[in-house]
Amino acid sequence: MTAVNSILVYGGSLDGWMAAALLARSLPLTVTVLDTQPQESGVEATLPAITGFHHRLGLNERALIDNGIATPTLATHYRASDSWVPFEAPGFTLDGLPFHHYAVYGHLNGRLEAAFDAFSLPAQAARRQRYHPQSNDAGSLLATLNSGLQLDRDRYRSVIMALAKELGVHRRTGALLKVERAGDDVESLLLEDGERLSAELFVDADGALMSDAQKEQTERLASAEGFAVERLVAPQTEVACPCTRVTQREEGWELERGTAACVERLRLGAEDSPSEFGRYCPTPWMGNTLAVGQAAGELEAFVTGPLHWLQTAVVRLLDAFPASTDWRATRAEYNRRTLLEWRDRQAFFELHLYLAAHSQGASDVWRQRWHKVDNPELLRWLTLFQTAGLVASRELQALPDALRVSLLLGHQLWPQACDPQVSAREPAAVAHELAKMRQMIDRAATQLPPYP
Amino acid sequence: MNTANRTHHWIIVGGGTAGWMAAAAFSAKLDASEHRITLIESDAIGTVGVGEATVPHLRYFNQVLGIDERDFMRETQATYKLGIEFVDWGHVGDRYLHPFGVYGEPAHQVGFFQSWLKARSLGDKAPLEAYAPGAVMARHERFAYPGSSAHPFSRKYSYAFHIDASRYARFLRRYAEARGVVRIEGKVSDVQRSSVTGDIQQLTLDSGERLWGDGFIDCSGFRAVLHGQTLGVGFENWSQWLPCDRAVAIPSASQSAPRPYTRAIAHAAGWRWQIPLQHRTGNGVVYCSEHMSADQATRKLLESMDGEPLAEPNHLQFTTGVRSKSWSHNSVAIGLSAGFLEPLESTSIYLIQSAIMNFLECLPRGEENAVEALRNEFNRRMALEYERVRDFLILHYTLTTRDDSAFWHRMRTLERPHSLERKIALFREQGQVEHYELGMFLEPSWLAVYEGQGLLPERWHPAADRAAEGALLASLRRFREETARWVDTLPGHDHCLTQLGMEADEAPWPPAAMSLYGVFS
Repeated sequence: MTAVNSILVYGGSLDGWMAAALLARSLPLTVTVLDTQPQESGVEATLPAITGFHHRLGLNERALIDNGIATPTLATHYRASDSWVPFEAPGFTLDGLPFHHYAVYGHLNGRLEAAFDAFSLPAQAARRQRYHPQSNDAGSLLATLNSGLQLDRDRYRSVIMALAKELGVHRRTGALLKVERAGDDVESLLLEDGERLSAELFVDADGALMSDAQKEQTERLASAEGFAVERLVAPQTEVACPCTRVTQREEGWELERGTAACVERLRLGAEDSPSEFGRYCPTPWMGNTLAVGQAAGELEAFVTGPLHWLQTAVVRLLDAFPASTDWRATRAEYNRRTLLEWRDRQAFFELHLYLAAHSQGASDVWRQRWHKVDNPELLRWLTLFQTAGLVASRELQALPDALRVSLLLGHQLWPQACDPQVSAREPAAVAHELAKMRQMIDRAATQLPPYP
Repeated sequence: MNTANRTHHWIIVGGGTAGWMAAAAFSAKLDASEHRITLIESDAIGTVGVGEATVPHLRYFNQVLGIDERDFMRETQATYKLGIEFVDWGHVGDRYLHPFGVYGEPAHQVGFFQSWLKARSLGDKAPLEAYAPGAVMARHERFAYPGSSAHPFSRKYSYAFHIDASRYARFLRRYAEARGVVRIEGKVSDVQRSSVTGDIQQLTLDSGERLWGDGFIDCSGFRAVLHGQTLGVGFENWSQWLPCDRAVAIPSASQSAPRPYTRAIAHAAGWRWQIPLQHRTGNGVVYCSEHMSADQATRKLLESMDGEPLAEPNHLQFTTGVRSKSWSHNSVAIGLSAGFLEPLESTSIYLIQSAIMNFLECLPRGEENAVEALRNEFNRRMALEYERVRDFLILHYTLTTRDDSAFWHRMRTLERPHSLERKIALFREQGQVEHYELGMFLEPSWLAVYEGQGLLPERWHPAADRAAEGALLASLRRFREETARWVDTLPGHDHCLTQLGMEADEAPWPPAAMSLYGVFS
């Protein structure tokens, strides 16, 4: 049993520096980054949880926005259906029943008179290119302005790197010659200059430290077959939007995010060469080496990018950070929770296959892809929602069910029934409530300041 | 269940706590023009009424029904309850409180327990409960509503009640009948099912009366008239882990002011409860018939009571376990017909409440495929609920170091369910409680039992090392002392109960939540 006194983070990407900064900020340990100095550009999209990470790091998020490094994201614009998907559920709970039941009821009666996103202030603000920071006052409508960020990867990496150094992270440069192993453990990293680096725990933000056993276990999601990723980065030619965009194409999607300086278009298209897309390692922590971020798995999640999953991985590690290398149960629990998170990411990706296959004029390609999805948990969830309007109870949601509901209703995939406690009401009374709510949100949205 | 556009007739079989809670909730939440509710009960069939100690979730149930908490307390002879004291569980002579509340303050982005572990290694041996304001209040027999003062401790606990369960059933009967529920006196003598779907269609009573229903709620207790006798829904037997299968209960006259907590005292072949009400004390012995006879149990119970017995001993037999499906065909089992778990953590009424609330969410609607999906969802939710309570109950037994009887030797060495084994291994390593979100017992409860029964890891989260040792010890001592001082300013529990009857007592009770730990924390 050896005390854990030092961590070596392999890889100088944003992932690596973010992991190092969070670890150094939270633990009284030596953290070193072996900086492989990768070139990174483009735009990273995150969920609202980024604000919590920034708070944890002691980083001023306002300054990032003011300096043009970050653009807030209020919603994701799905262009094919022209629906705006906010991070939180639209509407308000009425009499203890989730809002979507009222919207479904209105729809079933032909009295909804508006899209589901008309009941979300962040969605309406994004649609109008308006923005206001979220209010802390829980009673205020502005408290619903929950936002993620679009981050200029290169400039943001510099900020995180500088912060990490301030927090005492050591930076080492050099090229890796050999990974020296003893069983499942990495003993040391031999560099080309002859030096050996060693630590009790290696955090692999690059993939180069993965053992043969981990590589053998690595799987590829069957439903992701047929997709490859192409990343295009270009200078920004318009003003940045407080939203990200998803465009459905004949055989794939294009995800667009942007900051004041640049725009990234990520194309998930038909594969013509071997692709990393949908690859994941079910045991990211093996021996003394923990693969994080894109090293542990790659799967685009539409409303967020890989940085979010790097952050949840590091926080999962930090929640139960082992004081010693007698860590068998801790490691098993980390891997178990990571796999649960992965299954949730997988389901979210597969939900998009469902949306595409059920969109108007969907090609056979999309329908065949959806037919190949073998996910009983997702099917059970969809059946319950589509037939009865009920959201199945789930815990540890990596991507909240509010997103699923907004996506389905935004794509006009309405349930066939709603809660009987709602349908017992007078349709006109419910329609009146809905209209009132919609007007209030509409008025609030037009009063917000324009962005930027 | 036929959900066509006409009045839907629900028939609840059995009164008692489960039946009347269901009737009251349905009458409050379902539109009377669409739903008709009938409850059949027989005065000739006694109710079990063991669920006298409750958990804070019951306050939420009452809140949803718009019940005045003071009325409720007067009607049910309720006392306040801040937690449960466990005596002689880890070893003979120990005691700890499992409070409805949280411990200490987190620091350096790790939970308080990690700081506590570190302080303990530095020589501070104060028990965990010294850092739970709710537990300290219980020990000193004080009470005040959570959130009633601006002090941060005021937000770190919650409360429930000890109630006379049969009075609660009568109270809810009045509530339900005032909202249109029809009560029929009688016993079910025959059940008629559809030869096509297998659904229940009609009940025949001993009076000869016939009742047609669309949906049935089986609240017939252990007899499970619909789920067991009629539908033959399978029963998953859990007695390999929880072998206690008998109980004997006797109420006694109160000898002293009621304590604001339940007591669960282990004995050589099980445990006994003490539940203090305003007008009497509930007592019972739970035991394993392989290791103790009914006579021995009754003697043990009579010897341990400090007041005069107020009734003859009430003997109960049970098998721990659950029905494989709580909802089968058009019948939903709620309460003892759905499963039994010994009332060690006062879960009986909670499990009734959970079934009612989940069923209201999963109420039949739409086409047959929708009903099928709703039925599966309800069954999945209830199975998880029961299984998580089960593991938490087993924890109390399996962590014992007692070896003073054949029963305890068996409990100490039994093979745990895999789901529990994993949790214990994780905790043993570094004090981490397996994280989950659904179910009633979350991290503070697991900590209470682990620590209370002496299972402690040898190390702690390294972030707890960020505090200087002297500062850490001082901050814990300060928290403890401030808690004790603050609790000292609160009124006695007894005083709060006498205030209940006073007109002058106008302070509103705090809002409730579906949480064991409070509305605010």
